[in-house]
Amino acid sequence: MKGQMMLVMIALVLTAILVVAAFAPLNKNAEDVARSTARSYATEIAGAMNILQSSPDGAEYTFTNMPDKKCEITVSGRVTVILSPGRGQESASVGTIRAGAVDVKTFECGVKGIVFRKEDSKITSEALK
Amino acid sequence: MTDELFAMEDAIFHLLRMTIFILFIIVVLYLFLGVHSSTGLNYLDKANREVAGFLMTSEATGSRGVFLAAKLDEFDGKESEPFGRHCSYAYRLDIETMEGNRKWSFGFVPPKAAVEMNDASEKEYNVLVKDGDKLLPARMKLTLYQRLLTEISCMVEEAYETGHAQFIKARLPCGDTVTIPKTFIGVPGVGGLYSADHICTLKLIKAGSGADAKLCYLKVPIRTSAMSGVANAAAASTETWSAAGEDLIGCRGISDVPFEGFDPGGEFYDPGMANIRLVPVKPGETLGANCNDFQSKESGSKEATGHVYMCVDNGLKLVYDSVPA
Repeated sequence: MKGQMMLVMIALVLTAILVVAAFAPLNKNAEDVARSTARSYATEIAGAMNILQSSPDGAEYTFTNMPDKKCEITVSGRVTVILSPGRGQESASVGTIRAGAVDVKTFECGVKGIVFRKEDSKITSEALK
Repeated sequence: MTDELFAMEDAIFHLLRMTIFILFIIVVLYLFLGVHSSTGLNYLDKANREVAGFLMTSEATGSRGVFLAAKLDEFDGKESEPFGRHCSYAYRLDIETMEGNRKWSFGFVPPKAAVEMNDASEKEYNVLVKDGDKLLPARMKLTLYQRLLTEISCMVEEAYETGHAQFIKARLPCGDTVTIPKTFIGVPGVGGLYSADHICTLKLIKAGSGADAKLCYLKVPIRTSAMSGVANAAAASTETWSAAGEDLIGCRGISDVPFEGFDPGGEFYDPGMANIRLVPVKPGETLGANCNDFQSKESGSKEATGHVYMCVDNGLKLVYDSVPA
């Protein structure tokens, strides 16, 4: 009986070691997923801005595919998406085609979307209410 | 005797159960760790189509997809990226007519070194070239490059334009990486191993000014005296060291922002993945290679920016703390 208890204890300790050892790679995978998600959002917004850059004045695009978690989106010549801002945040930035000026704005993900407009060869943006 | 036999069998079965259980845990963990996600989206190909679309309606064209030969002549053979420059990705454009054998080629020439971030997307498009009164069918080859140099050039401009620090997580652009044995692990005189470290030497500089301003990699030779801090200098001396002299190994045009480049101050150990920041600071402020406390120095706006600095979170571990004699 004592021997069996010993074997069970060894099995439990070994399992615990394996689980702890696997935590870091699992966590890294989760970080990679978050980073590629952020990059995917940034790329979508940057792509829309690139199309607007070659569009005439008055062109408009509404981005409604907002992340469903807490986030921050900064729009300038470079689109930066930060998922879960604060400790453990993941972010990605994607540049855009440099043609006309871009109004620098930061949006939080509580808004329904972001409306981009081209006015006087400048791209402006505002939150969709 | 029978009891002893049963006890023995019991222990063997228990060991077997335990082994199966541990193997099961290992297999489950392996399956978990083997999961990799992918968006399936090729960002560079997407950007290539966007840049091509932009170029085809740019000032280089008379109407959509019809390039003007006179405009192309202006930039032929140059390393600039006119008409539609993407901030993060640099382009190279080659246009060749199918009749008359006319060719134009201009744009970014990728650096040979710093292959840590080394993506490219090449696509061909059918266009027309208007040469005088003639309309010539042509093939346009657009190649988009993503290098750390292109990303940093974008971050420098953005940091200056917005007054906010720009960030990227990437490998540092080590032009020359030399592995040298550093620390001896083992029993001296009996046996052991030398742990190896990579040493990097590379500077980023801004060359030229105004419309000719460029951000360049500057290749710096590793000083042989770098070995003085090495446990096994004799073994290290068998490595191939860089030739003497500094060399520009790749440039990308940037707008003339107040950025002097990046000089870590000597050879440094390869930090692997690093958090690289481009920080716009207020006039009179400076920032070293270490990003510590960069938030308090951030200018916040273009008007309040004196200079843009590049730094790395937690700094870089120099081979020397001071320049050796």
